[in-house]
Amino acid sequence: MRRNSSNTSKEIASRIILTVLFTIFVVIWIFPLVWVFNGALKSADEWATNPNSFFPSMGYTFENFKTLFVGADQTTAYNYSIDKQPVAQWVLNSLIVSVSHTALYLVISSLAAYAFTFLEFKGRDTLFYILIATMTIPGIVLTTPQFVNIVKMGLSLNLLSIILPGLGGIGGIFLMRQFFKGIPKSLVESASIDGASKFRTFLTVVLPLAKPVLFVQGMFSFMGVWNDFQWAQIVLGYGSKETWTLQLGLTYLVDLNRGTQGAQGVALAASVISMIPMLLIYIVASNHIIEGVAMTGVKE
Amino acid sequence: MYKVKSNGIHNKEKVSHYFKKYGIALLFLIPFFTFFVIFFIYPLINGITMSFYHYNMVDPSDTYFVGFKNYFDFLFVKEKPIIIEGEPIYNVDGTIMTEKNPSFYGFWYGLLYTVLYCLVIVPVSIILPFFLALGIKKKPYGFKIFRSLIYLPSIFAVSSTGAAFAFLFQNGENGFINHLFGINYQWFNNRFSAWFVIFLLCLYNIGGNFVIIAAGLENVNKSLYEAAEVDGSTTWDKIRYVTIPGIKYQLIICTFNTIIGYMNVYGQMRVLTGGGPADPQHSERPGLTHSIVYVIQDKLTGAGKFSTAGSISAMCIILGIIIGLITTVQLIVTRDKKGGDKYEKKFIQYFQGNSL
Repeated sequence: MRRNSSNTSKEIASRIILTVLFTIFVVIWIFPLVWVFNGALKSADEWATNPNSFFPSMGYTFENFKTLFVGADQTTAYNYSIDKQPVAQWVLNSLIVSVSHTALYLVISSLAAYAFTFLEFKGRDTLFYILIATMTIPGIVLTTPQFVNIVKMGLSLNLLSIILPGLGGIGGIFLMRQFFKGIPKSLVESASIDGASKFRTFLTVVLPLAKPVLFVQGMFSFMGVWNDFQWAQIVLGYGSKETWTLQLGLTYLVDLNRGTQGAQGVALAASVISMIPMLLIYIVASNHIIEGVAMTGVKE
Repeated sequence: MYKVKSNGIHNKEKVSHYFKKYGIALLFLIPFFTFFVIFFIYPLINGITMSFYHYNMVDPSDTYFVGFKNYFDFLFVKEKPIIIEGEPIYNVDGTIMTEKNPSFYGFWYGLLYTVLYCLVIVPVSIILPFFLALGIKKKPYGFKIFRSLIYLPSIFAVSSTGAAFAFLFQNGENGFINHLFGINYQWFNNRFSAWFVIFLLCLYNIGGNFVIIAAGLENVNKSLYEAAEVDGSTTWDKIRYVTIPGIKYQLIICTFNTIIGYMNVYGQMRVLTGGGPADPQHSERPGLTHSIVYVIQDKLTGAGKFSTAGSISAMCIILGIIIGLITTVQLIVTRDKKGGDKYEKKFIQYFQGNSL
């Protein structure tokens, strides 16, 4: 009895120590992110005269966001010199590519996953395993010919060059098929006995049940396209600034403002804008995301 | 007449039979396969083909077969003649004037820097999440919040988290870190400090490994720990003989995913250092923080991109083969002897690995 109670108090003590250690770690860990949000709310004059203040002596302001979207406020000393960039266009472009890619990919991959799970046809599983095997081909092999492809199709400097290529991806089909396999076959079969066509079964029986996996795949697709920098730089980077996505513009702003006195806040504000959609998704669905990632390492 | 008609009906039945068997599935699969063929199969074949050509993507008349020249060029040719308007330039003694071949140095040094960097970042990207996961398993108060916050940076674009580190480590007294430590250090002008900042930014990717390892720890058989307890094992013994074997599979997956991810590293350098600083002694070599993908990306976004697609593709294919070999080793190591759906389980990681 005595041993037990000392064990529990020891356990509580170790949990408290652990909690303190984790708190210290996490504060350092997310400090750069907090610093970005904090810095974005410091005015250009504050950045120029007092760049290292964490709590701005001139108070928090949305001036940098205004500079990004409306143009520099010409009444302050340092803001004046900051050039206007088509940030609203970048945000719009990023939204267009992320939303339309995600929507199209969900339609395409759920249709294919349905066929690979519920429709009987010869060679179905072989075909699927061949598709899965193609996922081992490293993506870097495709970049150059994909760019050539885009140029030859006349899609370079066009947002379609970001939206379309990923639609041939197998990852989402794989994830959805895994989920679909968990749907009782009897449900799908009884619908077809009722005389519902395959397509109606897909729409009215399978899709409503598949909402969780559609949600997870939708998030992964959206985040992938929204955060993409490398491919966008190849297909859009050499065009005029108006064709860019937000990540291209943001990197440009970071390069541009590294040496400009007072302009750090503007680049950090652009960084905040790029983080906000991800942050919103994470606040709503962090558990889904973490579970989805954890699932990839589970050996069954 | 009757016979023909009967055949017709028979054919019609046969057609409708085949339609039922394949047609409906075909309708479901057509949208996917259209994109799969246009944006995967075709470029895959075309990429291999064009690597044997001098390939000009906007001027077809400038495209001709060159065999293995593209490969040979960046793999072996250290010096190449200077050609201006199709004519070589001659030295005074009649020999052809040569220059150092930037493709050769770009490929080999890009690869060297990438591999050296992997040797540092990969072990850290496994060990740090491993200990974090061990801590989380002990359930500190608010462990769910800690878990979410540790994973949090992984969801952001490298350009947005990179912006933070670019300004935190800004050169000069106005940089936050310099100010904090009362120094005036040029972080991005020295190769080691530049790599160090890149390394810190890359740590923001450990979320995935952390989550996978933490999930693996939850499934380690608890009775093994109790047995170890009875035997009087130390904490280290338990980690060594119970924990690590228990999450071997997760550790292997994370290790390979991380290696493959960092063989493709690019964005961190692009945002923080722009590939610099330049090599002071060897101007022919790429910037000291150029990864191999950075070298390729430079070519794909540089001035000559439209006329040199063949040689860029060749370089991509060699890198692809190197990564493919790593993948093959992984497949052998994680080979599942149970059979059945083994392919599915093996390949699930690629879904995650490709989005790292």
